[in-house]
Amino acid sequence: MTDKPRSFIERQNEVLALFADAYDDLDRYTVLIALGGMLEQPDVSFMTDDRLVKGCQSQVWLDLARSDGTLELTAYSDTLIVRGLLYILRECINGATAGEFLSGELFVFERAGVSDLLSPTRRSGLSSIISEIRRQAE
Amino acid sequence: MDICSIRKDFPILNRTVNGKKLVYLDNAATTQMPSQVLYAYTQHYSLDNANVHRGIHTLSEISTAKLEDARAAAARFIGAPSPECIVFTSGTTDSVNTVVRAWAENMARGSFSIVATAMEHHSNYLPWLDLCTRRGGNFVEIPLSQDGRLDTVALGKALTPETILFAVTYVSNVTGAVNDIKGLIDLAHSRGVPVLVDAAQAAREFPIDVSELGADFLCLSAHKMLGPSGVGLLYVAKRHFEELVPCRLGGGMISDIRNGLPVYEQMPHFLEAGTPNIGGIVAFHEAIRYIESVSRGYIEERETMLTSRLREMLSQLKDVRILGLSDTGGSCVSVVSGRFHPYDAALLLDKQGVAVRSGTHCAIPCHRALGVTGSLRFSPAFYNTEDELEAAVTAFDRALSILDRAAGGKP
Repeated sequence: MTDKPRSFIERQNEVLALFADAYDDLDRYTVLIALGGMLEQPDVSFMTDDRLVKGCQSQVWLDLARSDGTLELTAYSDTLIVRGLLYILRECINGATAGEFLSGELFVFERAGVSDLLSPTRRSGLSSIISEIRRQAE
Repeated sequence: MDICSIRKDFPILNRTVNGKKLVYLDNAATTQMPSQVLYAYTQHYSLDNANVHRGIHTLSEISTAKLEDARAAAARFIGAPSPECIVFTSGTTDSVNTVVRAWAENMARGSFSIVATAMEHHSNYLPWLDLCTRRGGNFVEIPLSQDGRLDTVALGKALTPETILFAVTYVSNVTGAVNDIKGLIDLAHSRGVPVLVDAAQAAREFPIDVSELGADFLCLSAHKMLGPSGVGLLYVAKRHFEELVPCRLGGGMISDIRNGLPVYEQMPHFLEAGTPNIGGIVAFHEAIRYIESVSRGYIEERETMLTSRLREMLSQLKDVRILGLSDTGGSCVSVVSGRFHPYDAALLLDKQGVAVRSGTHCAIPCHRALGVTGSLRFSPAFYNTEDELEAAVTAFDRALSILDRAAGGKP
């Protein structure tokens, strides 16, 4: 018997659970950075200029592929905090269909309190990353 | 002087950031303004505001007098022989660009070179690189040793009869290295080369006497010496007045138009086209008064002590490298390590109320010369305390622990 594929909402709720014990901003940063530490570094050949996302303070490379009708995000950054954001996106997006991702609400950053951690410029960087993923998913 | 009474002059130092008491250690980027400076600024716009130099009404005369008083004070502050040597600008970047447009373009004829150093802030590097690129000149960058010292042997070779200018910083905004600016000026002058000194990082901490130094041009920013942003000055030695040409055209810089040609005002007004930042200049004057009342000797002594203490504390952290020499004098300390990316560390420090700067600090050539791509910079000012430094280093240590755990892949 195979497990039922998790929905886009369920994936986000699983990430939210990781922040359940974070009581203040520093706790939330600690979780975010820890998640960043868990993002595997792709081969150096992945870090090409055409995969760089414009509008981010730190360097971000990303690529969105499709496998069996679902999305597969590969992404990396030179900073741990941004890697944490990318880890969250990967956990939520990988396995979702393009339609599910494009029509669904991406609420995880808001509800985890991660959006509040980010300054306006850094929030704008996160928006650039999400916009780029949406563009590639379309 | 009593540090407690000094701190009372800086209301911002009492605020909290992210729920923690602010520890402001980003003074190499911008210093805070004392109440006296803020008061001077608001008083000007509340009571005396009018445009300068072009009116006969009372408020215009008051504004003009305040602006010219500020010019005289700035001249005294840097040892200039007279106020006419002082051009008000929007800051060091504007000052350097003014020298490019008003002087260097006029001097860059035929084969020429400009010598700058790898220690420069981009504001004293890019305008010269650009001029050489546009006009076919040779841009020479003087390298640094691994510990951040200027290679004076290379400098000696680079200064040739074709060199029209040597552009050099007094104090590095990355390592805090203090150049022997008098020695460098003497060396350049012995080869017949004028010198532009970027004193942005030096002006608050070290007494400057352009006459004694023999500087040809000197630039600084008010916002790094307790004044507001958007104000700076350019000092031009009188011997270069005849070589200057107007670089921006507009109001307040001509006395007449005869036969279709403008008759330019004298220095410094023909380099100050348009309405200056009058309130900012008035506040800058108050910042100079404040520094003089605290005394530059006190500021130098206190910042040297704080920086030395900071270096001592940071050097005890595992695998953290301090860029540059072990004892440099300038009040900034930049660190690197395989344990952190500067961006991550700065964010974690911010969440603990500590304001520092991460990145290249507009000094990519300097970082490249030191073999790194960026750094985390702590820059105290005289109004900081040793307790604040300890709080900052404790917060940094905590940030490193968080980053260490994450780098080990542990959630």
